[in-house]
Amino acid sequence: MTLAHPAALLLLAFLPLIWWLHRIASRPRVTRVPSVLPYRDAPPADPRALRRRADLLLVTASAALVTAALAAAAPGFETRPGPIAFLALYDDAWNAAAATGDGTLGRRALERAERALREVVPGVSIETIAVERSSAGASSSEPALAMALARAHAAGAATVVFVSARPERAEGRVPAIGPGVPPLPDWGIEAVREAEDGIAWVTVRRTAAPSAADAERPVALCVDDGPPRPLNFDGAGVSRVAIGAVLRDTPTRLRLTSPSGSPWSDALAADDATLVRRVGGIDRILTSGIPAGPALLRAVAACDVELRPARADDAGSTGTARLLTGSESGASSDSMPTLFLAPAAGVRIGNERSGGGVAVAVGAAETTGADVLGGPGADVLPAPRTMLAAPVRLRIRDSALGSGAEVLWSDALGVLAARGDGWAAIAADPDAPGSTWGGDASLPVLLKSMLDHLGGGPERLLLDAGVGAAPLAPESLELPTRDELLRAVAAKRPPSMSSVPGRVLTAAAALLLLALFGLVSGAGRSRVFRAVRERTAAP
Amino acid sequence: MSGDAPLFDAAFLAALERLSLACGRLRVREGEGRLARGRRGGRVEFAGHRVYADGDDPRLVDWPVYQRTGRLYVKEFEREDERSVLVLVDDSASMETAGAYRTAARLAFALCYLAVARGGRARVALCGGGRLTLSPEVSGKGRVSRCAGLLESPGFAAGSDLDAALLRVPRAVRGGRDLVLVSDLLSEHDGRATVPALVRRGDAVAVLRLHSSAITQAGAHSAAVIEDAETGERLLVDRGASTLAAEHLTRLDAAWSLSAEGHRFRYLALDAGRPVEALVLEDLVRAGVVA
Repeated sequence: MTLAHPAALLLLAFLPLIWWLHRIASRPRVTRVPSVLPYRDAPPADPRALRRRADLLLVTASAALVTAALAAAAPGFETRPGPIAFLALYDDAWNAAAATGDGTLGRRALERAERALREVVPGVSIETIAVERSSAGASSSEPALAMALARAHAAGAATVVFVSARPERAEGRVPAIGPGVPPLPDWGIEAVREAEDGIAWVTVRRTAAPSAADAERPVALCVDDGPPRPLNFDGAGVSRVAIGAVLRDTPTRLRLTSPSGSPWSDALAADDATLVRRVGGIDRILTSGIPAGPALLRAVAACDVELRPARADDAGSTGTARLLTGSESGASSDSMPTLFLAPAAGVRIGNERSGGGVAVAVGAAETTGADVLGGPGADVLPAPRTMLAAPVRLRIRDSALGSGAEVLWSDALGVLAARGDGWAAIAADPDAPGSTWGGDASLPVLLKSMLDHLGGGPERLLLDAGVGAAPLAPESLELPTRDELLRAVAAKRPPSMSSVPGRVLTAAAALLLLALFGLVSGAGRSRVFRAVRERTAAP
Repeated sequence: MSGDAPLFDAAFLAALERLSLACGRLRVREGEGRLARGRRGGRVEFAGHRVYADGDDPRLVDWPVYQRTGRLYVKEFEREDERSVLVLVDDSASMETAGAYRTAARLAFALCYLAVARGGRARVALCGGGRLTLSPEVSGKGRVSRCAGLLESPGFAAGSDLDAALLRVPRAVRGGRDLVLVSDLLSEHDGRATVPALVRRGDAVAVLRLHSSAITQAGAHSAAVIEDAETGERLLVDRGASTLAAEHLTRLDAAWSLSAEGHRFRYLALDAGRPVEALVLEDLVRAGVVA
């Protein structure tokens, strides 16, 4: 038998007070009468008759006080708790991470966790259910956890504990236990952007701040095989570092490093390395030797693109497009993106890969900018008074439209500008007689748009995904502490039978107090109180 | 008595004035022959008229009124009572305990007031503890307050030997008076042995026993210890003792009534809890103590 609140036994100190009250109340009460003469004929009474009620009151009051004191002390029997339907749900991500070592680390961790639980709750029955995780994201674990909980409760498990390396993922109604350590800080190369001066800047973001001691061993960024560049993170955990120019044909390798001995150096080496490549855009336009007109040259110069005749070593170079004008046509097997400018009638545009391309038909000679309609991909239209000299119109086959070809400009007679996979075509000739298009701003804009399309998009720096990304796996899994286990289990532990004696005593005390109230509220109340008042008022 | 409410407050004195007027009318209604029987002296004063009734003395018809109104009226007269009244009040401790002394003192003063209001003389005496303490004999309403002075200073002596006190009466006052004894008669020597002697010497004696229900409350519901207020004697009584006490008082009343009938004095048991006005107008008048 143990007492949860032994201090409540101090209530027994009131027993002498009850006895004192009884001693006063049990004295024969003296009634002062004018004369005892009328009472002389009455037979003498039994003196015990005077004490009967007071004795009953004493017993009742004493019993009520004792039971109330014992009930307040909350006694309980030291009985060993029986087997508890206890279910531990293990985070599958934890297991997977632990399995990245020699394959037995996760299993050993689970065995240690079960051993710790059995030590805390003797006789506990543990069933392991791996919470399936559809992806690596943390948010995807909650539905799987909810389903696992539903199955556990349906199976009659009264206590469910979610054991995870990241217990914050558990729901609020599930006690979660896990390593009692804060999450490790993590770094990642977030973006690379190029400034107008051609200098590339790398953005590195930190997910959690390291401790003050660890912050003294900073993380640095290495560009290719160059020296480490220190990273200074602002309050938002962002650091920007200039890495110089990134060439189109030479990818730049970025890597986050940490001095040897840092707690996160291994993790950094595993997943925080990436490549930066320059992609998109057209740097040069190759011609077949036909000299370009002045309007075209101005437009090409405005796009900051080199225009020159093709050479033998240009084959396979990146950032290069071919310009064909008039009746020139390219080989269908050539993969170099091609820009057709004012093609002649009968020229086939495009290749077999693009569904046969576009046929050129003879049409009206000239049109004005006011008559030009823009297609879905048109960024600009010619000025209304601009005269376009286009002796032909483009006739786009249905097969080409189905493979992604789109119309940019058109008028009532047909298509003036279109583009498809690996080709772009402009029916109007800016240098033709009568054309005023060379003085309109829409020419370089359309030309730039055509070149970006041919180059696979505007010129930009592309950051590859993590190189050799691997899940974060600490070398040693830390188990929850004993206190953490106790708190998690005690929160859901079913009530013990040891509190039954306290409840019985409480009920008994209540009944005794009720009986005492009934006795005192009757004839005895005024008698007791009056007797006390008389005795205490006596000199 | 100093700690209690005033024994004779203004309300009580005002009630006495109303009492004297009421008793005066009652006395006229019942005729004066009964009052004048065996008495001498006193003055007769005109009191008023009433319609003639069959049997009235023709000499009392007011003929001048008949000449003016044509209806017969008879004149009524009052006799100024010149007899002396002595009210003996038991001031033993038993009277204090039951609260009966306050009623007894007020009743005694009321009787004195009525006596002097009729032209008589009155005095009071305290007879507790076997002693006899007399007040001056007064006449006239203005002097009746001298009686109140004695009543306001009772001795509440332990032991009420009324026989001893009444034996002192013949030596203290002349005979032929109206003697009224007001007591609870809760004593072995309750005066039953000496009252007949007072009657024989010519006093008109009335014994008024004041009883209170509180006297028989002890032992009503449970066993209790009772203590005699005068002697300090204690008795342990059982439940039901109050019934026996009430029976004892009934037997006491019967014995006094039998003695009163045999020795030609009046005996009356009064409730000490009732107002004095009610005691005089109802109980005493009905019993003929006050005419």
